[in-house]
Amino acid sequence: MKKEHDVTQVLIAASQGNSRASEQLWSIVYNELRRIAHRQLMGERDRRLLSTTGLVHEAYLRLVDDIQISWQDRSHFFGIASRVMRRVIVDNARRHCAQKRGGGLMDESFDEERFLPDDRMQEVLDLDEALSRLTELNPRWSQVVECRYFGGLSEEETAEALAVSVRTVERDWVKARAWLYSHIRGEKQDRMMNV
Amino acid sequence: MEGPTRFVHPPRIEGMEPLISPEDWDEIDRMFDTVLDVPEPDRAAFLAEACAGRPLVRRQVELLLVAGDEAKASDFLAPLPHQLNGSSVRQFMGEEQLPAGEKVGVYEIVRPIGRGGMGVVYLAERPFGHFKKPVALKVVKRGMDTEEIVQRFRFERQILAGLEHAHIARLLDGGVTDDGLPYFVMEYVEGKPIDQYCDDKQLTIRQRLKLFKAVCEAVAYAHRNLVVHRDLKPGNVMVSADGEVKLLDFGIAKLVDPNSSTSTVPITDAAERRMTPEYAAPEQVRGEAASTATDVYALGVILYELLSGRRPYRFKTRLLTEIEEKICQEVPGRPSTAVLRAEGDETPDEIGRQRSLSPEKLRRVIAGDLDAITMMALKKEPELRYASAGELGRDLGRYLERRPVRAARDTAAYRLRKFVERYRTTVMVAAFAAFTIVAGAGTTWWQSYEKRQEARRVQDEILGKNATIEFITKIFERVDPDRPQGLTFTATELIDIGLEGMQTLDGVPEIQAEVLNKIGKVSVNAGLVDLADSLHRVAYNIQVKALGPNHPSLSMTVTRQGDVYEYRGEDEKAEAAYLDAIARDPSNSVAHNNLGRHYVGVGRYEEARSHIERAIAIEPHNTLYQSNLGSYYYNTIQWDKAREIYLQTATIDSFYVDFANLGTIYFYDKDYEAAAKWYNEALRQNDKDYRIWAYYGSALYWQGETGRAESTGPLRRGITLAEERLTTLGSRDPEVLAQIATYYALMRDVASTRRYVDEVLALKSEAPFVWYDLASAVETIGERDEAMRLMRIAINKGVPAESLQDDPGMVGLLADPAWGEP
Repeated sequence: MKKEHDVTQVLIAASQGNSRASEQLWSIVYNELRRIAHRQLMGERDRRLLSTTGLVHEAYLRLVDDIQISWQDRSHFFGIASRVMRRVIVDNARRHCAQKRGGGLMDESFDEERFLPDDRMQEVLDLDEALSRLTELNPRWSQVVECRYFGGLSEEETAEALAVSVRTVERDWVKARAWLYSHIRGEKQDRMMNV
Repeated sequence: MEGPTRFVHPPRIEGMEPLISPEDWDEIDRMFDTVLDVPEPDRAAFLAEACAGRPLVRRQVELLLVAGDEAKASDFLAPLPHQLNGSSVRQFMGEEQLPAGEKVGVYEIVRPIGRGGMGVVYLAERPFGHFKKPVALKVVKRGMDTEEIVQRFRFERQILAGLEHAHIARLLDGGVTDDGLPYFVMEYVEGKPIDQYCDDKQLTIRQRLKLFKAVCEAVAYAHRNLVVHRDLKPGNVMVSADGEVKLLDFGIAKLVDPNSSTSTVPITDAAERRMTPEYAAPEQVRGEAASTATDVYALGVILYELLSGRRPYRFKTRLLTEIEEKICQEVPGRPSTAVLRAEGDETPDEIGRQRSLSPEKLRRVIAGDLDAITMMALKKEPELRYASAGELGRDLGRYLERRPVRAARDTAAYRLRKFVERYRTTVMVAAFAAFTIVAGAGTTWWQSYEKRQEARRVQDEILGKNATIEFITKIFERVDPDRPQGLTFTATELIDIGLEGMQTLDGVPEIQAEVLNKIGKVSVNAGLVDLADSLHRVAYNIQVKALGPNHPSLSMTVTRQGDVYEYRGEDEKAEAAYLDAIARDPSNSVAHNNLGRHYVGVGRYEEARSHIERAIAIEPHNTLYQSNLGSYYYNTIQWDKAREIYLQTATIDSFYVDFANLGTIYFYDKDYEAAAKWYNEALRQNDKDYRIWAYYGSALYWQGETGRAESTGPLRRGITLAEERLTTLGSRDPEVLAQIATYYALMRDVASTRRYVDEVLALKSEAPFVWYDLASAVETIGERDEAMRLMRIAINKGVPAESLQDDPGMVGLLADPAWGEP
């Protein structure tokens, strides 16, 4: 299959720093993750058993097995997947917020399920924005948040994904959370911080 | 991405234009870090002091502290709903993770302890009443064919459960989770991967090799049980805190490998090549079937790593084409050179330090044998690698004992070096001598002829020793304890092995001839007389060519040829050969002995004694000669002397012939139970000799009614073997035929007895005991008159009349008034 081959090429190109390839990879993983998240939320436990072989095979196995991602690459890939998951969740929230306000267009062919309750949707959108700013200040902090919050990785996994120590992850999490809190909640309260 | 904090441009927040330089931010970051370690009540005071004169930094850190507390209190960034939080990513990665406390079968998940291409491994517990037994539980990830795996598991389970080895983690159980994922339960092993263990402990090369040898032995054990690992890598080779090796996942790879199934379901390319590329053998990369050689390859990679701290290949991309090209085509650099390569995270110095050596010293230690062993295991062609993990381990053993290793056997220079290593002092002299020969070519003027002769002799000796070592090595290569039938070889196999190694002795004709003779001897014993015949002739020709026709070494070859003649029953040729051998070398005790034995056989007792006694004089402690002297006494009916010798030789060397003769001595003493006992003893060592079966049968026969019933079996066996013997001889030997007649007689088979007796009579034998046996046979079937007639002929031809006294079969005949008459 042509597509299979493409994914392989894309991942390799991306790992070598080809930005266009990264974009492509991004969209492949993005679509796959969104589908999985969507299906997860629909709670189709039984059907999942039947269908995941196909789905996971298509994306993950093709990526991982065809080119044999090593342990290190896997960890790295966990990091990438966490970032993609952030996009998946944020985009979902954004679309639903826009829809609620009556202005947005659903750009996808399928009727997308809401991933989160309203209050958390706003939290995710605020967080996304704050994270973008945090990235400029300290990219690693924001990566730690991505992995822990959106990727759902443990501290150990995050450490592996980012090639830092567990202690660093712990500390970065505490600091990043403080910083993000002050920027998200602080804006609404007494604007504690002016970094 | 993970670089130091970088200031891009100040984040803008609603009109405020804070001026925080990168330096300020770094300081805020550091200060925040520091203050987090300070106990809460002291933080304000600490900041006041630490940030004196830095109000901006202090203010920001204070704000962060407050925000941090509030974030924590308000559960800011609490995990997303379970379905989104991680499980999507994990599912995408095919690595869903079970939460602690989850039940899988009877097991309870504690925590994940590892992940691999196949899925996640958990520490789990199996409750047993009040205590819990820790186990490792491996859940196969989604996307692999569950049904196939479960089916294969059922099939393989018996085999895998049977793998009981101290160094192999046991497979305990398996099943399917509620989610429909197959899982395996294994012995939980607490330890470190072997490479990490070695580095952490800074083990020396020898210590590493010893550890690794244990790994090879465990793998060899599994191979003997027909289980191939297929996915050996350091992560599957654990070492416990007390230094015990434990192999994980044996046989598991096969269970999840679609290739190994009998199913006709098409398999995707990707799934087929489920392996760790660093440790994958060329045949695996190509998607071919894995074998024990595949494991040998993986062991080679691990060995490479343990020695050099590097891997044979480094892949720039993870593209299958690159992996395939490298693994299948590129010959990796030797581990010794890899040490000094600048690559990866570890410098040569670090690698050396982990092995308690300088990089250069380490390179030198690995260069040579260890390079050769590793490279042999890493051969692209499976058939060129070590034939088994056991062989790899044994070669390492040889290295550790400073013996020549198999992997490096190709060059004569190597052999010589190894020989020198082992016999350093002795060889130093010889090497000097060898040197002087070479040097001497141009400078003979100062060297006397005798000196050169001496040097040449020493050099030849070295050559001979080396060739012999190699030959023996070659033989031992074939003697592989891993083979199913263990160390038992058929004679033909041994002969094959010997002949195969023959060319290694091409340079040393004396040794070659000697070995040919030895093989010839084995061949005679195996009944391959014609082969032995030609081997001796070849040996003879080699020796004549190398040493001239009159060299004493030829004596032994001629002796062996005599054995061939004797076996064929060519009495005159045999006698001539033995006499020739003695003439060539009067101190050849084997020739004396064999000639003596030959004379015993043909009834020339006095000549027999003189030669046997000569042999004993030359080699007093040879029990074989002693035992032949016993035979002389035995055949000349000197029972007491014979018994005395036999009881001695039998206990020292347990020759079956001695046991058998002892049986006969007791037989003639009319102690049939003792006789049967000794015969039985003889049969335990040799159940191929028809005479012993027959003697055993007759000893039972004469014990009385019950024994008589038992005697038929052994007698019949004796007859069968005797007939086989006749076939081997290719002629109707009257001696054997007459003996068969006596056996049939004891079985009361009158017709058969008669048939054999008549056949012998027609042959007109000259051997006295043939007539005795005929007499005995017809006496037993009740034909007294003919028995007496035949017995008279026997005595006439030389059978001592007194020997009838001891024969229970002759009681009736002796008592017959007609016998007393002349």
